[in-house]
Amino acid sequence: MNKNLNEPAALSPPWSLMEARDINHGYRRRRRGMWARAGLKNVLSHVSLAVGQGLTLGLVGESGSGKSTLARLMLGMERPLSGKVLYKGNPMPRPFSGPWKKLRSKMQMVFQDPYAALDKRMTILEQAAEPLLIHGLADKKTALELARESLAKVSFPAHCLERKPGSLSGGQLQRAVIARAVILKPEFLICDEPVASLDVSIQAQVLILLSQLKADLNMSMVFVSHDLNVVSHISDHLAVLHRGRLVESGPVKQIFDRPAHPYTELLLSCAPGSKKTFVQASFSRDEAQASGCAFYRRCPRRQSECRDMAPPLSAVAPARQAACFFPLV
Amino acid sequence: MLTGCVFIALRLTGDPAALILGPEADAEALAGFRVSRGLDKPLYQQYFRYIKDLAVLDFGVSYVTGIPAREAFVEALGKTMKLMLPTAMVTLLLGIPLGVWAALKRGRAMDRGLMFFSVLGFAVPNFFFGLLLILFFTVFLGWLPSYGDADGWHYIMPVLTIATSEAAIFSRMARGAMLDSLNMPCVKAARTRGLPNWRIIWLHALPNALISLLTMAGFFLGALTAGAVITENIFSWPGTGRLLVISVANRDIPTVQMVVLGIGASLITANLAMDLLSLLANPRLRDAAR
Amino acid sequence: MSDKPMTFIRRFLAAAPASVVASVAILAVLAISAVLAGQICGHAPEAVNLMNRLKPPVPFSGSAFNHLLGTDELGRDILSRLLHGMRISFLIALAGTVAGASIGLGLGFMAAHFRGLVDDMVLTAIDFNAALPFIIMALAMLAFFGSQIYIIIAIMAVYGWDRYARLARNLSLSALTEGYAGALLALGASPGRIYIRHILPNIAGVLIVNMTLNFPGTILLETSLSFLGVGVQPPLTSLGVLLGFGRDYLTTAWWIAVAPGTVIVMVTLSITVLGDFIIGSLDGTYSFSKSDRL
Repeated sequence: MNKNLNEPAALSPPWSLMEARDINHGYRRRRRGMWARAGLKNVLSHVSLAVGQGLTLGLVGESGSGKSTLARLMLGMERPLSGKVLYKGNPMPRPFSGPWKKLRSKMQMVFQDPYAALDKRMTILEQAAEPLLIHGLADKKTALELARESLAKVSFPAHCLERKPGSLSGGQLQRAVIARAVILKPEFLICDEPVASLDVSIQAQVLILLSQLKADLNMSMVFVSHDLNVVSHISDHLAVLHRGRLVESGPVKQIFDRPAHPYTELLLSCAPGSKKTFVQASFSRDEAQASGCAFYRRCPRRQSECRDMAPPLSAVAPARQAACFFPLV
Repeated sequence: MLTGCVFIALRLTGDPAALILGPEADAEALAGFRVSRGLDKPLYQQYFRYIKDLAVLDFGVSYVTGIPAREAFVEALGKTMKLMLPTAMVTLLLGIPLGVWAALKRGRAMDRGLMFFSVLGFAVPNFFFGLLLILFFTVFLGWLPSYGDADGWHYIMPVLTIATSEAAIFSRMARGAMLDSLNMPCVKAARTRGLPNWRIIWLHALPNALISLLTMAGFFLGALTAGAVITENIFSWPGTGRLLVISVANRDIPTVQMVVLGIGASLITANLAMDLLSLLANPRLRDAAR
Repeated sequence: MSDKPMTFIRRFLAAAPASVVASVAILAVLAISAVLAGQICGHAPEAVNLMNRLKPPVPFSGSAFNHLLGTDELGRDILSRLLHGMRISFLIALAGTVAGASIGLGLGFMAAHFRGLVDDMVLTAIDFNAALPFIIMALAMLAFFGSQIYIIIAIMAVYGWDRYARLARNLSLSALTEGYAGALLALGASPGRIYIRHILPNIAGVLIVNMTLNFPGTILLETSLSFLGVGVQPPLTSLGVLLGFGRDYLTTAWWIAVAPGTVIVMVTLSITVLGDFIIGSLDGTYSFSKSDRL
């Protein structure tokens, strides 16, 4: 479906538009009681990845693996506790600062739940026009005109423009959200599970729409999903997160053919339509270990050193990396 | 933090010396008073002195009566307790059965009538209901005394005043708790097992409803206290509420501070005790706490 | 609700039970007479007439319709004093409600926006507000600051602010983390624009319902304090002041106390009935969407 799929792609600078370098991030735990220590919940550790110019990076992992947090960091909504987010080689400005606000028109986001992402009290047309008004790029009349165009481009039904979100379907709303995101012609688009809440028949339409827009506007994209089938359709590269660590990255085609990390293999075998079978799937509540590989308990290939030491991310093939002592390739 | 706020508030309200000695006092008397109370020292020293006094439960002497605030409060607290115990009993004996009954007859005339009275009980303020009682029983019928705490007859109207309005609210809560517990799976299961109705109600639904009511004990105590503040003033009952209002009217800060902190401390202690009690009564919470 | 007002009124009359319609009618009559207090009755509220002291209301006195609700110990017309007292009570309660809602909204938005320490402080303050029966806090504040009218309004504001703060905090927090407000933040909208243009209109309905529910409590708080003699101070009258005066004349002139008391009951009862009805109909016909849930 995607023409870029088979081309060898450079993942390293200077071609990367967006780059994350050795990101560590966590959230403060709510204090319970007056004297309890405020703990830190670690969400991402030592994550580095890059998004090539004009390419799409698929970000996969189970829920709680930190993929949405990584998306927020790349969008600059938060600052990582340590590490750097670089956009076109420049560090991401502080959230809500002047330069940050300028960047907003360059990078946009499509959300998982289109019902929640839209204001229930405004019409679709007004909401699609809002980015122009926020950034002062057009007066109200022109903004509405441009919004009409943008909505037409995503095939939003013309007779529904004046409606409010309450009376529209999920697919229609997601189109409106996409129209709002691309009205400023961004260079970089993050899609956080954009089709997870949609009906399967509509998922395909939205995916086709996204890849068309990407080609038309020459955007780079990060596509966050837990569904490998969806990701494989739209992405050029794949990054697999497991418990806040990057366990594998590389071109989609190669990873699908031969995953290097046992966790990726597990994910692939779970995807519907897969011919491979992967028997080991016992989930343990207490997988996290003080040291050692986070996947240790579930891994069929574990050896004693996996328990004592966390494997670093290292090259397993050209343009491919995996965090495993015993990669499958 | 709290003491800091109170201290700042104390100083913000003006010169205590002028407040106590009144407008007629001359400058020399004011100065002498300041020295005797340590008010001539720098503020931070005054603050330390204030904290030190609080730590040994010395709340100072009433500006008006000259009685130590603590003694006045302890005496009044006893009287308030004497009023609140029977009131709490009447409230529970009135509120819980009525609420449970309404829940069992849900949607019928009985239920709706009771709930209407409950709204009425909330809407008729304590102070007006108390006056109506006085008007009826003292002025028109001449049966009951309207002020003081001398003997048993004096209890009837104050207790009735607080208890009716609290029971009105409490019966609503009891109705809600009972409806919830009638919908619990274990009660439904008991019904499908074909147990007799009285068994289901007395052995399954009611205990569960009572346990969930126990968690509202804190709210209940607070409401009783608030009711007592008003009611004691209507019937000139010499308790903490009356003491508080009189000292507020006289701007007798040491006594006000004593009463507010004292009531606060008593309520917190009582709430803690209630929490422990509900921990003991509810097996699910007991296990969770372990 | 965007229909013409007439159709809205007709729909309301069709849907609401008689008790609710009666409540609305009572409130409307009371509000109008409070506003027009000066125009309605011929007597000035402070006009003293010692010849006409302690006259009972018309049905009991059999005298002329000069003083519909009788007179007090100084021969002042009770109806006139009642209407003016009502005006003061309503004004204090309204001003206090509006001030409390504004403070609560501001603090709630701040807690949601800055999170962390600010959030902790606001939550602690909310808990602190709930720790003591409020009447005791109110009395303490009066002792410290005196009984000026603006202090009383401030107390009414403090009485309600925590509700609005909790509401505003929770609703905007959920809108910011997973809802439309978070989307706008990512679009680069300024916080001011988000809170005023988007979040405020979205939570306005819940807010108004809460103001309605809180109003009887506010009225009762003011009248209680005034009844105890530490609230509104003469020569200003409020319903509570009138009731407090009436208490002293209970044995000789019961009507001085009964008139303001009845008005208080009518107000609180009507608003409570109305509030219950609004909540009930919200539960049934208008389900709060995800981001509106508390």
